[in-house]
Formats: sequence, C-alpha cells, structure tokens
Amino acid sequence: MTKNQIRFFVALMNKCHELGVKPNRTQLHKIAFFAKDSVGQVVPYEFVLHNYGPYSFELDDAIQSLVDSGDLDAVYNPEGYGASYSFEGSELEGDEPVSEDVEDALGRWVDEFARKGTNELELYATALYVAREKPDASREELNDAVRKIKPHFSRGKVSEAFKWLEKKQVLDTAA
Amino acid sequence: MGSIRDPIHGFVGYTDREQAVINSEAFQRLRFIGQLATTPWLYPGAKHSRFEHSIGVMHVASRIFNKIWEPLAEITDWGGEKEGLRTVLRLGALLHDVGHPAFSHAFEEVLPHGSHEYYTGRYILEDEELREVFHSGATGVLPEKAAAIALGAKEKKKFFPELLDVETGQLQFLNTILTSDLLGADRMDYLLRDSHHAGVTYGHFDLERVLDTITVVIDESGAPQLAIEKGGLEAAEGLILARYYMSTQVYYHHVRQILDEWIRKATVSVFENRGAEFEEIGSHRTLTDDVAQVDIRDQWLEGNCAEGGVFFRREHPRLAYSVPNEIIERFKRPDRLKRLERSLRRFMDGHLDKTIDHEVIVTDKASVGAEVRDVPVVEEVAGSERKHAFGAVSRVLAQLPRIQAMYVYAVDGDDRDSVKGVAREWETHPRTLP
Repeated sequence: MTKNQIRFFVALMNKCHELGVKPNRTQLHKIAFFAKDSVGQVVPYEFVLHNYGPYSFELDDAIQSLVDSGDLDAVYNPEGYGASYSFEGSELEGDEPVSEDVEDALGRWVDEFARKGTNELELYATALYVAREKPDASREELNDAVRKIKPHFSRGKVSEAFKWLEKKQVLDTAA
Repeated sequence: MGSIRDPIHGFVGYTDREQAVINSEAFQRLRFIGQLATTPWLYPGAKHSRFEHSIGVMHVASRIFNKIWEPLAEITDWGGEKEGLRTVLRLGALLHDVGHPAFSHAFEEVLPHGSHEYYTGRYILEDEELREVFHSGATGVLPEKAAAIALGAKEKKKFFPELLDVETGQLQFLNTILTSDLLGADRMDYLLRDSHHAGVTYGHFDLERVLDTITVVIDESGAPQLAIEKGGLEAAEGLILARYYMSTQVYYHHVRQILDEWIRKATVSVFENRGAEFEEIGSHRTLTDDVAQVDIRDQWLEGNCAEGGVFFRREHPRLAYSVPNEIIERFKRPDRLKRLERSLRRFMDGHLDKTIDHEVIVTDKASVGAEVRDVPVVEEVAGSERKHAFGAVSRVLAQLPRIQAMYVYAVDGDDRDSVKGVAREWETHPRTLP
C-alpha cells in the first residue's frame, strides 16, 4: 500500500462525504475506475477484470486499511447486500490534496454513480473495460465479449450500456 | 481412476487425465518446491511441498463444486455442463501453483517476469506434455480455460491478455471457488496443511462444517456468488481466526521474516545475473529448492554469499527490538505506519555505531480483505431466503486486528544489546515519533 494509494482513497471518500454519499465497495471501485479512465495514470490503482467487473486489489486494501485504522466505519443496511462506508467529522485527514484534475474527475463520477445500482455500475464499467482492452473491435464484437463475461445481461442491456458511455462522452460514438 | 493418501484429506481420488497431469515432469517438480520456503528453519516439520498442496486444493475445490452444484444449476442455465465445468475446475486447481520457483516467492525478484503465475500460465499453455494431456481422451479440455481458472486477475491481464477472449462468467465463478477471500479452496487447504506439518494447531478450523454449509446465491447483478448458510457462520469465523493465528504465529513470525529476507538476499547474490537462464519453461523446470541450495552453498563456501550461512549454519540476524503495540496502535493507518518506519530507520542510521549492521522489517497486512465483509450469509425464515452480509452478522470479524509489527534485528547476534539500546532511545527521544 503506497502513500499515493491512501491519498487518492482519502480524496475519494472525502468527495463522497461532501456529496452526501455512503458508497459500497462496488461504487468505490467503479468510481475510481472511471476516474482513472478520465485522468490516467495519476490514479494509482491497477484495474483488472474480477467478479464484479473492473476491480482494483489496491483499492480493496485501502478500504480495509482505513476500516482497520478506525478512520472508516462499515455500516449495513438490513435489506442490503453488503457494507457501505462512511466516517464521522467533516473530512478524513490526508497528507496532501490530490490535483484539481483528479478532484474534478472524482466529483463527476461520484455524482454520476452515487445513486446507481450495482447492476448498472457493473455493466457500464465492464463495457468500458472491454472497449479499452479491444480498441479495434466493433460494437457488435464488444457486445458479444461483454455478454460472454456477464451472461446475465441481455444484448439489449449491453447495447444501452455502450450508448450511455457514448452519451457521457467516455467512448466515441460508433460508426 | 486412482487415489492418493493425503495426511489432511484422507484418500483423494483422481481421474486418468488428472493422473497424467500429476505424473508429468512439470507437476512432479513440485515435490521439490517447499510449500513454506524458509519455515522449516523455524518449524522443522514444515517440509511439505507444493505437490501435495496442489492435489489438496483440487480436492477441496471439487468438494465445494459438488456441494453447490444443485443450487447453482437451479439459479443459472449451466445445468447441462456439470462434468465439463468440474473437469476444468479440477485441472485449474491442480495446476494453480505449477510455476512456483525455488523457495516459493524468494526467487521472484531474479526471474525475468517475477511472478510465479507467469510461469504457471506458460506451463499450462505451452508445456507439450501437459498440452497432450489436455487434448487427450474423448473430450479434450482447452488449456486456456484451465489457465483462466488457475491464474489471478492481475497476472492474466499483465501476462496473458489473450485470455480475455476465453473469459466467461462461468470461468470467473469457478476461479472464485479457488480464490475467494473467505471460502476459497486454496486457503482452506494450506491453513490445515501448514498447521499440521508445522506441528501447531493455530490453523485448525471445522472444514467439514464449512463445506457442509457452503452454498451459492444470485448477487445483486444477477450472477452466482459463493455464500454460507447461517448454520456455518461460526465455522467460517473459525476459518478467519485460523488465518489470523497462522499469520501471526507462522507466516509473519519475526524469525520467518528475517529468514525470508536472508534467503532473498542469498538468492539475489547468487542468481541476480542468471535470471535469463530460467526464462523458458524447459530450464525453469530445473529450478527447485535443492538445485538452488547447491548453487548457494557453492558460493557461500567460496566466500561470495555470506547470507548463504542461513541455510548451512543457521546464521542470520537476531531480533533485538520490537516496536511496542501501543506505539503501532497510534500509527495504524498504512501511510502513518510508513512515517513511523521512516522515523525509526532515520534514528537507527543516525545513532547506531556505524560498525554495527542492523535490519528493519515491517509487517502491515489486513487479517482479511474488505471482500469478506460482503459475503452473503443465508438463512431460511418462514420458507423464504434471507441474506445478510457476513460483516453484519459476525461478531468476530469486527474484532480482528490488523497484522502489524516493526522489528529491528542485529546482523551479528552479539550486537543485540547495542541495537536494542538505540531503538529504546528512539521510543523516548523527543521529536522522534512523527
């Protein structure tokens, strides 16, 4: 766990707190993934394809580190599937702030994803991940690739996901 | 079909294809790779190898699969694929460690691609003997599918990006049977096995109860996810406690830490410029613990590798000082712990006599990952299924401390008091603690 990985995670949690969001793990991973897609290597996590789509082992470590240190609380919704994360006070203490670019990217994606369900997040993030790994593939080919990994999503849902990515200008509109 | 007698699981059965894998040169090599590298120097009985561990993981993975198959077939459309899925799961589990170099992880620094999983993938995808086994019989098995199950997500992306073309929801789920942070077969086998051979009981947990209560549910997105029935909650807690105690008493024991560091130095010293020799799996196959020890011994005898003394005369740095828990507690967050470490290192370098060599080793690991908190615990209430998050219902999980320690060793055991004296001064010196 590097200093930068903690620093970024502190900024991510502070942004969530600022916008009144208590994120779960899926939201945190997808927000960070989209932020990295926006601003590049300055986001110090490596994303790989795991059970719920793009995932960072380092980010999961950061979540656990701050729960272990008492900086973060894990809270449970009795009707929900897992833990959400929050903290008391106005902000988590960090070493140095992140850059303005990173702040803006975090703000954008926290706002975008805060109230989206795990389902949607998983699909949008997986669609983007596959599109980045296969930059020369057609939308049809990408659709097939996403549905191989996530067979519980229909062709229609996957198409909607790509349209959403285009609408948000994360991906170029397909020819 | 045949069976092997295993000290942990009793009789472990295998198919003809699995027997051919086990008898292959690539797999037989694992008899000569210790499961726990330097731990036998601390717990002399811990000489078991990756060979029997790999067979054990295949066995546990298969038991998990058999237990969850009925609910899995009900909630997915995989019903007609049972034998094919079980076959590829067992092969992936059997071969998950096949690429481990000598001394398990110590050699990774000198090998061209570092991670043992790079070599595991190469063996599975390229070894001619294994490929013949995969393609044999009435129905062949794609080695790419076994590799997708055997390898971690990071290593797949880094070394074998082409595996994305075979990645499916099924293979991802089968991979979790091996690697799940709470319910993975790999960990379940090695905790029991390592505990048994080390002669300790820290790693004991109720495997039968865990396997009896493991199940599968549909997660929020609609995909299958491993879960545990409420009746197995305490057994699952026993599993995470076993993991915690094995970590503190065996895996991160202060003697094991310095032994690992000294083996690493010895390996680098002797093999640093020879990594390319082992690039190809043909030559990598020769790299076993005993072969590496012979080369290290030769260099040690010629005076070129002082660290080699750890093998042959038990010569290694001795613990002089351990940072008290009360201080570690105040700096628990990893970035703060790093500041504490820097402060200690600077003080030792600045105040210890320059003729005295010392080493500082820091451990900072979570007892369990964040993923464990979200594992579903399932109970039946008035005929319908209710799910809780493991973290919400486990009273043990929230209490589990982080595994953190900071040790200072004297390279020459005679200097222990001097090293300890300076470190104690650091504790009380004004302005030294960040």
